[in-house]
Amino acid sequence: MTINTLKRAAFMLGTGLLMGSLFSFQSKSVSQANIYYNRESRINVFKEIEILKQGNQNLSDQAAELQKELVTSSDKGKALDAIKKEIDKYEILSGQKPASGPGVVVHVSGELEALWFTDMINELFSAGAEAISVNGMRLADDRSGFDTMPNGQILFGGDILSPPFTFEAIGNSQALYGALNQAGGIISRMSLYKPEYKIELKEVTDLKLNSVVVP
Amino acid sequence: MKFRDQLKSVNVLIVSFIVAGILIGLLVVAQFQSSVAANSFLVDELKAQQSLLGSFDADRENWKTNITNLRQQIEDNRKKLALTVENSNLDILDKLKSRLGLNRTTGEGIQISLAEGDTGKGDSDANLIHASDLRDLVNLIRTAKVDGISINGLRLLNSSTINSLGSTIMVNKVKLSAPFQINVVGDTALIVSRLNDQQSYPDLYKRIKNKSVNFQVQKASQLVLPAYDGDYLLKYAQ
Repeated sequence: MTINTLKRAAFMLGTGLLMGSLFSFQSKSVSQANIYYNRESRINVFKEIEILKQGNQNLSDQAAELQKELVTSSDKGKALDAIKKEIDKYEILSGQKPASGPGVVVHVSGELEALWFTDMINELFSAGAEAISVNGMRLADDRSGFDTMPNGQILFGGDILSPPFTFEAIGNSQALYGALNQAGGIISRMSLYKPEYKIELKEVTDLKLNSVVVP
Repeated sequence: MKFRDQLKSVNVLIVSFIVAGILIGLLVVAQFQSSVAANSFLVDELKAQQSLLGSFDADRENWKTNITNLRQQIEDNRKKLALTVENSNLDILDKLKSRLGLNRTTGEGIQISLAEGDTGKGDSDANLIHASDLRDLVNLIRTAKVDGISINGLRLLNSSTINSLGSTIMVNKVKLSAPFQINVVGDTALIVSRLNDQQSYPDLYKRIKNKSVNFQVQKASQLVLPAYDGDYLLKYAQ
């Protein structure tokens, strides 16, 4: 074996090692980025415009509703009636009263960590959900944190949730379905990370959610 | 004869190189010329998008001011009503509003500061604070059954959303940037014990431990959380 052959072999080995190291670093940084990136829905500028536009429309609707309330608030009879209606509304929103309406149901067949509950609830509210239950347990003002227990169960406001998990959300069923089912949305991300699970999403015309304490 | 053939083939090669060089030169020049127009278009489009987004921000602030004023006027009228009516149910309404975050909340609590690390060093992505980090933290805090949470002065409700939007984070559909100040009113000992549970936010906890992000917690004897100032509509649920 000549010196030139040895030099060539050493050069090729060095190049190979360098390329291998670079590939390894690259792959590591990409996989690290994916952990964070994959928990977010892909939002482009057009989606951003849509979200902000919808947000402003909701604020406009809220202002119109308050304007009506302001008019009635100076009339004693109408004001008392408006207060009762507002109490009803807040009792539904706080989970103290049962809620019914159109929406979506998501069934997930296996164990999930708390972060999936946080992300699913976030996606549902982002898409306009007004009331949400998980395994029949209503999300309420004093019950909204999820904690992963060592045995894979979920602690939720003092109750233990076990798989399979069912998320029920009342709102615009088409908007909710579309948001969850979009490319890069939570259903596709969950399917990517939990390929062995059966995940079902369906629109429902009349959902009924219990109150926090069933009367 | 042989020499002449060799000379001919060399000439053909030289001519080919010259032609190829001219073509590449033309392409490079054309590319440079066209890129000026393309960049200008993109810059104009970007400016238009930013202007549109800016107008949405301005509109939102106007609506929120309008909503806050309307709520205040309704509140004032109701206070007057309470003086003339024996059972107005206003106390029930007030308790509900407080539970939901529609009233200002004060009390003992915890202030959490979360700032991005030096993005020029090491893994820059690990130095950033992601929407999922805030969601995990808020979820963890909620397990301590707190009285109220705000992020950078925005009151959170049970239905509040935290999403990523490019390099910014949207909380309650409002764009926020790091550093983040999370104020929590509630049982401070319980909140701190929950924050010490590293299993509940492993990704962020790892980055806090290796100082990729700056995380500070301090107790406060008196915190003031503003009332939620956004929309709160029921369109589908009955």
